[in-house]
Amino acid sequence: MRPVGLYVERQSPIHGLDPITKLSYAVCLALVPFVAGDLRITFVALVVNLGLLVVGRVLREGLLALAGVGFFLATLFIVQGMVYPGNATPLVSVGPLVLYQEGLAHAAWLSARFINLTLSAFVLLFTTRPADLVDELMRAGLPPRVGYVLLSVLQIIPSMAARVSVIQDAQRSRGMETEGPVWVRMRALLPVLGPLVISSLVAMQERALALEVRGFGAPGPRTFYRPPWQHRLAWPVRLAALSALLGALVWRLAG
Amino acid sequence: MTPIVEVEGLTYRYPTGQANALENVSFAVEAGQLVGVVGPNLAGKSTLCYALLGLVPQVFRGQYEGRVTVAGMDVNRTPVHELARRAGLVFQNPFTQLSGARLTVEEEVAFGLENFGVPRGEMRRRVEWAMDQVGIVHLREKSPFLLSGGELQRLAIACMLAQRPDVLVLDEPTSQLDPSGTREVFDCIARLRADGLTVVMVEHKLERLLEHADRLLLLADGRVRAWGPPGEVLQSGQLESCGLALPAPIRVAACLGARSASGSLPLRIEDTVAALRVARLAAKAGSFEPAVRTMDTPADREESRLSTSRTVPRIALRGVSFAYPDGTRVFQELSLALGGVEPGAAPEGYVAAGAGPVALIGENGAGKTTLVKLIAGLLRPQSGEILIDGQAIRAQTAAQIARRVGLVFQNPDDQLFKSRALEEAMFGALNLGLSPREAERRAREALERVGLGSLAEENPYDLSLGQRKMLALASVLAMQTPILILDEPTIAQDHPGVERIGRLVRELQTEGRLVIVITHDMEFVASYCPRVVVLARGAVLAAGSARAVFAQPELLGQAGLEPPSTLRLARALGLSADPLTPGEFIEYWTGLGAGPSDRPAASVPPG
Amino acid sequence: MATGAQPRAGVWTTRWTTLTLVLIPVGIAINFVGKFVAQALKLPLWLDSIGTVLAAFIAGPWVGALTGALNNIIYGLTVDPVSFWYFITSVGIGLSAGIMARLGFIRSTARAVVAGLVVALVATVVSFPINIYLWSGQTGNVWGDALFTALTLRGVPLWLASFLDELVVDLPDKVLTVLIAFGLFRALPRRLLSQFDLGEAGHRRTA
Ligand SMILES: Nc1ncnc2c1ncn2[C@@H]1O[C@H](COP(=O)(O)OP(=O)(O)OP(=O)(O)O)[C@@H](O)[C@H]1O
Ligand SMILES: Nc1ncnc2c1ncn2[C@@H]1O[C@H](COP(=O)(O)OP(=O)(O)OP(=O)(O)O)[C@@H](O)[C@H]1O
Ligand SMILES: [Mg+2]
Ligand SMILES: [Mg+2]
Repeated sequence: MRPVGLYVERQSPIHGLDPITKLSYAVCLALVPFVAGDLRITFVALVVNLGLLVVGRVLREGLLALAGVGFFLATLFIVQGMVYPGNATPLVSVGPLVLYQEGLAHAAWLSARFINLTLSAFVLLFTTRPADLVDELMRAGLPPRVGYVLLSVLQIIPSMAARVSVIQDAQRSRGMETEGPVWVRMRALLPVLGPLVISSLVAMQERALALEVRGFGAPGPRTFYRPPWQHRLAWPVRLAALSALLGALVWRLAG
Repeated sequence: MTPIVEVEGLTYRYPTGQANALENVSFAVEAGQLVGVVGPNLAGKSTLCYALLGLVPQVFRGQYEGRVTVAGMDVNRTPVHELARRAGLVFQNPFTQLSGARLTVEEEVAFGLENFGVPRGEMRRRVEWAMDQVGIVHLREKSPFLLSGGELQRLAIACMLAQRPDVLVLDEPTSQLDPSGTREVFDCIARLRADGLTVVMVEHKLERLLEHADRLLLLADGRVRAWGPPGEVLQSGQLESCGLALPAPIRVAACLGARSASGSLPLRIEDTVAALRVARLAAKAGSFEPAVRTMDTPADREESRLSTSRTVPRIALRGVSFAYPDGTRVFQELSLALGGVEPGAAPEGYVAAGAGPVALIGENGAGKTTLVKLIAGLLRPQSGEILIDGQAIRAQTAAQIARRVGLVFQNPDDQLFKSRALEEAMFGALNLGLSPREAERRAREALERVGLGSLAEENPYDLSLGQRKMLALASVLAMQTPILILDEPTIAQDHPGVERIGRLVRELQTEGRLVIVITHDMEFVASYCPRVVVLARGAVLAAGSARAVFAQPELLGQAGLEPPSTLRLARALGLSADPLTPGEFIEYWTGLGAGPSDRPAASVPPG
Repeated sequence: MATGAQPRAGVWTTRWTTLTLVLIPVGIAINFVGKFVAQALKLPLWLDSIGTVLAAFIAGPWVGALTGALNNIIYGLTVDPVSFWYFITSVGIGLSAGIMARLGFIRSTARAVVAGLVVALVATVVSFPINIYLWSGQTGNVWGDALFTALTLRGVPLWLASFLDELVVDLPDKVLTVLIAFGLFRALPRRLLSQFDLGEAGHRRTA
C-alpha cells in the first residue's frame, strides 16, 4: 500500500531537515514571484529551488512530475499568444492563427510563476513524509482535530485503494469477471465505486465510536509518542526564507 | 462499598429501532468484579456496552430512560472523552476500531495515550507492556491495516489496556482469537483485576466466563433474564431456556447426575472432574444410577458413510510458496491434499486430511485465511501449483474458480456490497448465468437456510454483525458450488446460530460437496468436522482424523490450540479413551459403569 | 429523563460530533477517488467533488464547506500546489450543495438536477476570477479553452469568455457530480443516517 503523496524515501540533507522549516521555506519561495512581480527574480527563485532538489537527490523525480503539466503550459502559450489583451507584435502565424510576442511573454511569466510555485512545493513534498509534516504541525499548535483530518486523509486514500481490491475480491469470488484485458478491468471498476463509498462511510461510523472511547477530542494538552524533530539549521533556514520574501517585497516597492 | 457501575431502569430504543433494544435493565457492579454478559444474538449486549460508555445515547441518540453511572459519572451528562479516562471499551468487530491515523502497530496503541496527554516516557512503558500482554510485540512496526483478524483483535485489546481504565468493557473480545490467545487474555484480565480493575465482558465462551466471573448477567430481548453469581444463574435453568448451551463438561456432569459437594452443578472443569470421581466411587459402591440422555451425534458417526475414498484429491497444493507484498512470508513449499484422499493413500510428498468436512485450525496469523484465498484464486502463489479436481487453476481467473469454489470471508464487510440483502444473495447466482427468476429462487432458499428469510429487503449494513456473516454465507450458498470454504463462520453467532451452521456443514457434505471450515472453536470441530488440518507458522503440523489430531496435546500446544474440553475432562480423569463430544463421553462413561473396558484410544467406536 | 426524538434540522444546523469530523476525511478521499476515475477513464470532466457534495448532503452546508476547504489544502500540500487557490471554489460547492439539500432539493432526481445546476453556477462564479488572476482566464480544460479562444478572438470581453469557459466545463461536471452523490446518498443505510440531522434532506428516508 503506497502512501499518498510525492514523498521519495532517500537519505539527504533536505530529507533530514524538519518539516516545519521546509514548509516555511516552500511557502516563502512560492510567494516570491507573486510579491516581486518580476521575471528575473522569479528565475533566481527557480534556480534556488532546482539547486535544493539536487541537494535533496530528487531532481529527476521533480522534473518528471513537472512534465505532467507540460501540456497545460503549452496551451497557455498558444492561447495567450493569440488572445492576450496587450497583443501588438505578431511573431509567428500558423494558418489563420497568429501568435503575438506580448502574449507569449505573458505566458512565459505565468508559467515561470507556476513552475516556481510547483518546484518550491516539491522541495517540501518530495523529501517529507506527509504524516511527519502533520505530526510536526500538531506539535506546533495545529488543533488536534484538524491534524486528525489531515492525517486520516493521508491514510484513507491508500486504504481506499486497498479497499478497491477487497471489493473486487468479493465480486470475483462470486463469479464476476474482473481480470483480463484492459476493457474488462475498466468495466469492472465502475461497480466497485458505489460499494467503495458506502462501505467507507459505514466504516467511518464505527471508527468514530472507536475514536470517542480513545479520548479523541479530549481537551487539555496532548503528548506525542515520537520525539520532536530537532535540526541545527532549522532557524537559519526559516530566517533566510523569510528574508527572501521580504527582499522581494522591497524590490517591488523600490520599483 | 458503593458500586463502580450502576445501571438503573435503563430502557433504550435506537432512532431506527422498531422495539426497545434494552428494557428496564438494572444491575450494579462492585469495584474489582468481573461481570460476564451473556445472551443470544440481538439480546442487546452490545447496546449495553455502548450505554456504559455513554455512546448510547450521546452518539446514537434515540429514546433513553433510566440512569447509568460509571465511576461516579452520569454517562448521559458526561462527555464520552471524559468517561473514557476511567472506562475503556473493546468493540465487537475488530476490523473497524483502528484510529485510521497511525502507520504502525505501536503508534496505534499509543494513539489514545497521546490524546489523554500521557507523558512520553510513561507512554512508551505502557505501550510496551500492553503489546506484550496480548503477544503482538513482534508486529510493532507492521501497518495495522495488514494484520490478520486475530492480530487485529489483539491490537484492539492492547489499545484499551494501554489506557489503563478502571472499568474495562469488552464486547466479545476473543471471538477471533486462537485458544491460547483466549487464555492469555483471560489470564491478563485476572492479573489486572488483582490491581482493582473492574470488568464487564460480553462473551459466548461460557466455560471461561464461569471460571472467572463473579456475576453473570443474562440478557434476552433486551431484558435481564437472570443476574447473580454464575452458579445461581446456571442452576436457574434460564441459560438453556434462552437458547444458550452449557459448557461441555457441565453438560456431561448434568447428564451423568454428577454434582459438586454442595449439590449444585460443577462450574469448572476441575469441579466436574472431582464430581465425576465421587460419582464413580459411588458407583463402585453400588449406588451409581446415571441419568443418561442421548445428546450430541458426533460427526464421525457419518464419517464411514462419507468416505468414498478417491485417488485425486478435490484440492491439492503442490510446493506452494507465498509472501505478501510487504515482505511477510507466509508459505514456503507447502504441499497439502484436501478432500477425498485418505492420509495413507496420499501421493508422495503430500499431507492429506481425508474425506469429510475439514476443519482448518491454527494460531492467529498462521496463514489460514491466506491459504483459502490462494485456493480461491484471490491471491496467487509465487511458486508451486494449486489443483482443483486435478486441474491447475493458474490459468483461470478467480471468477472462473468461483464456479467451483465458494469462499465466505472472515470479515463479512469485505464481502457485502449491495444495498439489499436479496440482491446480495442473488449476485453470485446471476454471474453463473442463471435467469433472474432462478437466481432469486436460489437466493431466497439460501436466505431461508441461514435464517434470514424475513430480512431479504434490508440493507445489509442495517443488519447486525452476526446477521451479516450469515448473509455472506447465504450469498455464497446460492451459487451451489461443489466446494465451499467458510472462514470463521461461527464468529458473532449464538448457540442456535452455531448449530445452524453445523447442520448446514453436514447437509452440504451429504449433498456431496466438500466443506472446509476455518475456526478457533474446537467444540465445533469436534461436533461437525471429522477431518482436521493444523497450520502453524505457514506449515502443516498435522492432518488427518480429528480424533487422531486431538490426541496429541503437545502438538496442539505448538499451534496455540487445545483439545475440546470433553477430551481434557477425560484426560484429567485418567481415562484411556478419547471422547471428543459430551455424547461420546457419556456413552463411554456409562459403559465404564457397566464394567471398565480399557479399549485402545484409536478404536473407540464413534457415538 | 428522555433524550427525545431528533429535532428537525434547519438549513444551517450542524451537529459537531466526532462522527461529523470523521466524515470530512472520508469525503476528501471520495473526491480523490472520483478524480482518479475521471482521469483513468479519460473523461473530459473533473468529478473531484463528489465527496464534498455527499458530505454536505449528509451533514449540512458547513461540513460541506469545511470538507471542500480541507480537500484543497491537503491536495495542495501533497500533490498539486495550485489547488490551494481553488479552495474557495470548493467551499462554494460544499455550501451550495448543503443548502440545496436542506431546502429539500434531493428528494427526487428531477430536483437533484436543479441542485446540480445551482452548484455548477456557484462553482463557476467563484472560479472564474481565480482563473483570470492565475491564468489570464483559461481553465486547462481542452473544450473550455477552445471556446475561450474562439470567444476572445471574436472580441468577447475577457471576463465573459472566462466565465463561459468555466461554465461549459462546470455545468456537466457538477450536475453529474450531484447526481452521483444523490444516488450514493440514497443507498446509505438508515443506521448511519440516523446519527445526523438531515433536515429536509432526510424527508424521504425517515418519513
Ligand atoms: N445502530 C443501530 N441502529 C438500530 N438498531 C440497532 C443498532 N444496533 C443494534 N440495533 C438493534 O438493537 C437490538 C440489540 O442489538 P445488539 O447489537 O445490542 O445485540 P447483541 O446482543 O450485541 O447481539 P449480537 O450477539 O448479535 O452481537 C437488535 O434488535 C438490533 O437489531
Ligand atoms: N494484506 C496483507 N499484507 C501483509 N501481510 C499480511 C496481509 N494479510 C495478512 N498478513 C500477514 O500474514 C500472516 C497470515 O495471515 P492470515 O490472515 O492468513 O492469518 P490467519 O491464520 O487467518 O489468522 P487469524 O486466525 O488471526 O485470522 C499474518 O502474520 C499477517 O500479519
Ligand atoms: Mg453484539
Ligand atoms: Mg484469518
